Order: sequence, then structure tokens, then C-alpha cells
Amino acid sequence: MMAFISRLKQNRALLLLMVALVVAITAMTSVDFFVDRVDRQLKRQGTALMAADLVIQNGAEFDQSWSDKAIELGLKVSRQVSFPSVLFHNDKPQLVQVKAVDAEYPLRGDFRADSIDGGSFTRGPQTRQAFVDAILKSKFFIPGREQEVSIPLGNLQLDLRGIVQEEPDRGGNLFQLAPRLMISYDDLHDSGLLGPASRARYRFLVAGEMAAVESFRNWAVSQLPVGARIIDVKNARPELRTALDRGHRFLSLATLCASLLAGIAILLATRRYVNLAIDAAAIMRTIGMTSRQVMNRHIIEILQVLVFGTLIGIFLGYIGQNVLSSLVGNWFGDSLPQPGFRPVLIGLFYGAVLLPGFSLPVLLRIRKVSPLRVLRRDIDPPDASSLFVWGLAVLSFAVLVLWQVQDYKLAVALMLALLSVMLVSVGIGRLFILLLNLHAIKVPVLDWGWQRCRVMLH
Amino acid sequence: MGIDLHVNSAEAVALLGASGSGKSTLLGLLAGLDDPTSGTAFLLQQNLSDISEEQRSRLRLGRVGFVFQSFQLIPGMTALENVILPLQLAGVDKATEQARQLLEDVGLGRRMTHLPRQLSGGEQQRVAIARAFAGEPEVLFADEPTGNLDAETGEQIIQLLFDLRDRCNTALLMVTHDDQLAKRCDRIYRLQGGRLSETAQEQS
Repeated sequence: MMAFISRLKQNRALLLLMVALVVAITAMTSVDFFVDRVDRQLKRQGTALMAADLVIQNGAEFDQSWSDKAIELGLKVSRQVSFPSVLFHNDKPQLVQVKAVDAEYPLRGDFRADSIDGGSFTRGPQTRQAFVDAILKSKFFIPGREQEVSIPLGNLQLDLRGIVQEEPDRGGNLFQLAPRLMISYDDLHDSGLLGPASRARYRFLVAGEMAAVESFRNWAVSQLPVGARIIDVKNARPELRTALDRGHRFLSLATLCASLLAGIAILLATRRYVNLAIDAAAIMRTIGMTSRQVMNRHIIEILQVLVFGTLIGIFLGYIGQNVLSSLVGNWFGDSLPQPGFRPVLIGLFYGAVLLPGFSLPVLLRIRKVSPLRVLRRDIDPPDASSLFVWGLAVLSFAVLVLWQVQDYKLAVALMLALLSVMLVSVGIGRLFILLLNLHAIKVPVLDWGWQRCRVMLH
Repeated sequence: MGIDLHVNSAEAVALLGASGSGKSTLLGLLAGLDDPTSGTAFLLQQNLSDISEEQRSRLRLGRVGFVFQSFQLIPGMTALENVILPLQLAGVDKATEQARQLLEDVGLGRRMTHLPRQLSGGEQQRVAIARAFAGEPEVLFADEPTGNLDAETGEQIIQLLFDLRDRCNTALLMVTHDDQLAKRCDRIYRLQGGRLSETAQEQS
């Protein structure tokens, strides 16, 4: 480690190469860390919004096999059913959305109802009790006699005990305008409201370890009745999910463009590094090193740049995402959860693709250095083929783009756009050269800008 | 064709000639740095035409030293690292201690951690001499070793080079255009018009 730091101090080209890599990795991982945190927040919010990790919804009641399977997998289980109904109070009809929940509800998120005698509930109503929305409160309560309200529901008379304040899985369903009437699941059958053709929505809720939930989901897919559907965090809040996916793609593409510039910086820094290394390689060959030994020496040095540069980039990316989080993190509700390990792996992957992709062909020149260069400095190792240099760089970048956006059409569009910009830039450059030549200023042709260019003004 | 040269063990041979006469080219051929288009070169009893460039590198390792006009130190390495490198490559035990001693011997005990760009020309050539004698080579090739130095420093460098050569009993082939320097060698050859001829050494 100390030897490597010492090498960085002695060799500025090596330091420049490392800085270019660090910039690229920092740019990419800061976005990935931030998106990972937001993603975790959305998952957390998603499960709270469903009151469970996974919900199966059906038009008929779930049989006992569903509970048996979930319990076998170590999951917590809750059942609920909701349906519209009409209450009559003082001979006036009132449309309500009845929701019957069991004692386990909710499995995720917080439920809260204010008790009419001053306390509060964190679980649903018990048998023969009912909770209602605040909007119904004025209709049922008579000032001074709040303790004596009874609500008729089918065959039952329910005691009104609470006002619902927080209900995690209520959601923002546009068609659910009726106020809530919450009852116990155990009262459902006694109410006599539901028959074979009732428009009831039965929900089977599970929560527990991620692997167990996934196993249950696989089992549920094979058992799913016709018309039933599975609701999970991915489709719990589709509008936020879509926004996050698009935001991630946009930020990733923006940072990929920054990475492209860093990649070109890597290529130029590698050229400088190699130009210095060529002289040293000739001396090493003269004093007895084989070309393989010389190459290995430089590969080890570049690997050290890769490892340390990537790790430093990941660390700075982590710092950078904290800045992003402090700027826009509150858009997503509570404080964002800490990121996972995935962005670290992504950073390692970027480094492993970006550095070799942009530096390897140039680096391989070192292997072809002749020891005779110590006597004749004009003997240069052959330049790496432009096709190889740029082909590998473009290929590496394309891999990163495709992997990042997960959409080959978008990846191809971006690559074509970048290529167009590059060709237009080269075209404008050549036009300038043409104009300069017309004015008797001799400028050599630039070989499409790939090769080193020397502008000689006479 | 016009060139027939044999350097014996522990012998010092000077190669004189005008600029562009091919002295350095001949040195490169004899050291196995270049391939002859015709003829044969032997180094340490090995026909260089029979072995690959990689094998020639291994043949030179620890047995052949070089001193160049432009010093040819590795720019990113300190003086000490430059001297350690051939010793480490040759698998010498206590390479660092030996390298330190060599640098002490050439008077650079206090400049070991300096990079070549931080050293004067004379100091760089001292490091190059220390590196050349690391491992006590059997043959030393010197290409205009004083070419980039002032007269006084050049004299010191030559004295150092010959002292170490005597101590290590190393054969020396030195390319130079300096007649006075050539006279310090056992034999003098002159390269002119593509022909090599031995010049009689004056008896001092």
C-alpha cells in the first residue's frame, strides 16, 4: 500500500489515471447509492401501504389451505373483506364501505383509531364493535350521548367504539368515496350480508421473511383462482415506481456521459503513462527483464489503480449520495434508509469494465518495446490499432450503457446520438482545417482526430 | 565483412570512431540488443543468432552491465530502486543492502531516495555505474559514458568506472570518441568506413 502511494507520488501519469477512474466511479456510484436508498424507502412505504408484504385478492373467500401453507412457511397471516353497503340511521340511507378485519390486522404499517371514551386502538374492532370514519361521526353521535351509539348492519347491532384515524391499506382508490365502516371479521357471517353473488373483495395478507414471502408467492401463483390477483410492493404504488425507474435511467445516462468523458480521460492518461513506461521498459529489457516480466509489472500497477481507484470512487460515491439525499431526500417522506451492498458491487463492475476497456490496447504497447531503444530513441513500439483502441472503448461503454438502462433500444439510441455528436464535431474540426488551409496556413490532416495531431502554423 | 572483434575476459577494449561511424550500432549488436543482418555475434560464449530476444534478455541478467551517455535511469524510481532492480531480478539475497553499499561506494549514500530528475548529470551517471556493477557482471558495455558530462565530472566518472571494473574483474567494451579515455583501455579499435582496425597502444 505504502509502496503504491509512493509510486503515485513519483509517477504523475499514474496519478492522473487513478483520478480519472475515481471520477468515473464516484459519478456512477453516487447515483446508484441514492437510487438504492429511495428504492428501499419505496419498498418500505409499499409494504406499509398494503398492511402486508404480499396480498392475494379474490372475489371469494380463501379456503384453509392458504393459511396452512403460509403458516408452514413461518409467515404471519391476516384476512379481510370489504364490500359496499347501506346503513339506515333515523330512516336516512348512508352508503358505506364495510371492511371486516381480523385481530392480526395490520401485518405492516400502523393502524390507529380514537376511542370514543378517550383512548385509542391500534388493532381493528372486536366482535360486535364498529369503527367509523370521522365523517360519519356527526351523523351517528348525539351530543352528550356518545357512549350509546348503536349501528344496525344486516342482522347485527354494533356498538360504535372508535373513529378511524390511520388505515395503512386504504389507498387512494378514486371509486372508494363511501366512508369506512370497520367491523370484526368474526361478525361477517352473522351479519348475513354476504351471499354467493355479493360484490365483496376478499384479501389474504401475509408478512415475514423475504425468502418465505417469495416461496409463498410462487406457491400462490400456482394456486391462484380465476380472477384473483397478487399485489406486492412493485405494484403497490405504480406511479412512484415508474417515476423512480425513469429518474434512475435519466440520472444513470447523465452520469454515464460523465463516465464517458472520464473514460476518455483514462485513455489519454494511459497514453501518457505508456509513453513514460516505454523508456523504462527498454531499460528493464536491457538489464535482463523479459517482455512478459515488464508487462506483468505494469499490469500489477494498473490492477492496483483499479482496486484502489474503484474503492476510493465507491467511498466518494457514498459521500456524494449523502449530498443528494440531503437535497432531495425529503421528497420521499421519512428519512431514507441506509443503502445496501448492491451499489458497491455496481461500482466494482464499472471499474472492472471501464479501466481495461479504455486502457488495455494502449497498455499492450509496452510489451512490444525493443531494448534497442536505449541506444536509438527513434525506435517506438508500434501504435495500437485505432480500431482496437476505440473499438474496445466503445464496446465497454456500450456494455455499461446497456447494463445500466436495461433497455437495448434506449442504449442503441444513446450510442447513436453520441456517435452523431462525435462525427459532427470531427466534421466541424475538418471544416476549420480546410478554411485554415485556404488561408495558406498549413495544417496536416488529422486522420479523423484519432491520432496525435500537430498543428504547424507558418 | 570488415569487422572481427574479440574481447577477452577481464579485458578493457575501447571502440573509437567518428560520429555516425556505427560504434553504438556495433555495441548494440554485441550486447544482443539488435540483430545482425549478416555475420555472427557471441556473448558469453552464446551465439546470439541462435536465441530469441527474450533469451538474450535472460542471458544478460546479472552477467552484463550497461552505462549509457544519457544515463538511462528509470524515471519513476529512486536511485536506490534503480540499483535494487537488477539485483532483485537476478534473485540476489539482501538486494537492498547490496544496493545501498554500491551507492555508498559511488559516493551517493545521502542521495539514495532521490528520483533521477532530482540528481545532477554526474550523480545520475554514478547511479548508472552502481546499477551496472550490481551483481558483479562479467561484461560491461559503456556507450560514451562521459558524453553528457563536463571534463572534471567526466574524469571522476571514468576513474570510478575503472576502479569498479578492476574490483569486479569485468570485461569492458567502451564506445568513445575521446582518444585520451581510450588509452586507459588494454586495446583500442577504430571503426571507420565500416571497417574495424586495431590501433597500436602507446606504451606509457
